[in-house]
Amino acid sequence: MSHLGERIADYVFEELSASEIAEAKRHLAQCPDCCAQVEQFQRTHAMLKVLPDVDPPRSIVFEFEKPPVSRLSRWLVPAAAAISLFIIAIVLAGNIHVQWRDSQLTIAFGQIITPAETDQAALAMEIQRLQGQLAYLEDRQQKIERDSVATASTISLLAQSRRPRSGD
Amino acid sequence: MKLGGLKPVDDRKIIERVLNGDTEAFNLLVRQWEKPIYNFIVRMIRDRDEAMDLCQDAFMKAYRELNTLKDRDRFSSWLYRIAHNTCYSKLRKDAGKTFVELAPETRAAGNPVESRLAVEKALQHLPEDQREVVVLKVFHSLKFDEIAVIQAAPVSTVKSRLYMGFEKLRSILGDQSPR
Repeated sequence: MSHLGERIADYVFEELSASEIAEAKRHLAQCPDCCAQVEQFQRTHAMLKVLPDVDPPRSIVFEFEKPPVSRLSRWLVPAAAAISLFIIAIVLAGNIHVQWRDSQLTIAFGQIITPAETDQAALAMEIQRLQGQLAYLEDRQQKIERDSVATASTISLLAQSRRPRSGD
Repeated sequence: MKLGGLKPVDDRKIIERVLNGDTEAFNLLVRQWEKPIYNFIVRMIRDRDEAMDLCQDAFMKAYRELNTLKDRDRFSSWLYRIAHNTCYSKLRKDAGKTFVELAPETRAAGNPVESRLAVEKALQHLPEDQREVVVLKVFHSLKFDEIAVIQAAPVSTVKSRLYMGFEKLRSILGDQSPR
């Protein structure tokens, strides 16, 4: 094996594999230079180890109010609450009707019209339409009657103008 | 010094609890790692009060960024990396300041207290990157590849820094065995 060189630190700090350690030991047994370097390294290591650990002057304790949340979650809950309140307010104001029927959720804006009310409304509209038509027809009838009277008067006048006078 | 004492599987379980909403569990990690992290920082910057503040900052950052931890079995390395960044921010901030320092107490004295003081001061005479490698290797038993990740440097560079740091410490303290 070649000299340990930079592997001295690996050897002293036991970062060599078992086979590498065995090989290093065999070399150290035969190489006084490497042996001296290893011993010097170990002495410096031992000199430093006299420095003990110290206790921190105080303990660190974290007090948590709530678990860590993502930025999105931080806004999501208040936003959802605000939207919910808005919908509730509008519903209470009567402009939005929420209905669950036949396994369907229906959200209606404006006035709710029931099926029965829908039929009545259609009927009323039909009646109005027919009344309007009737009025029109009555108006036409009156016009025709006026025209007929006028025509009859004209015919009568013509007939009178052509009758021979008596005594001629 | 052992790395906190908790096995990676214990760290992992606590991290999963925290990320699942049990935020109070984070204090278990703090309790386990505050002494090693504090000792790392105090050996880097020497001021104990400042080191305590930086230690707290490091844990606050760790809590805020816990969900970014990719390998939950390497929480300790990740935490040391945060502490490293915290230290270096402070060291860079102090880079322009002038400190009046007495000459180091060279040659480790017979008195254990003096020996410890001598070692403390000798460490402060190392460049920061060498000091960090020496501290993490000797006092925190991190592996070279872990230190390489913390320093964002190749393993060979980390080893070079260790060799140079040891050489300088020997020149300051003298090549003596501790008594």
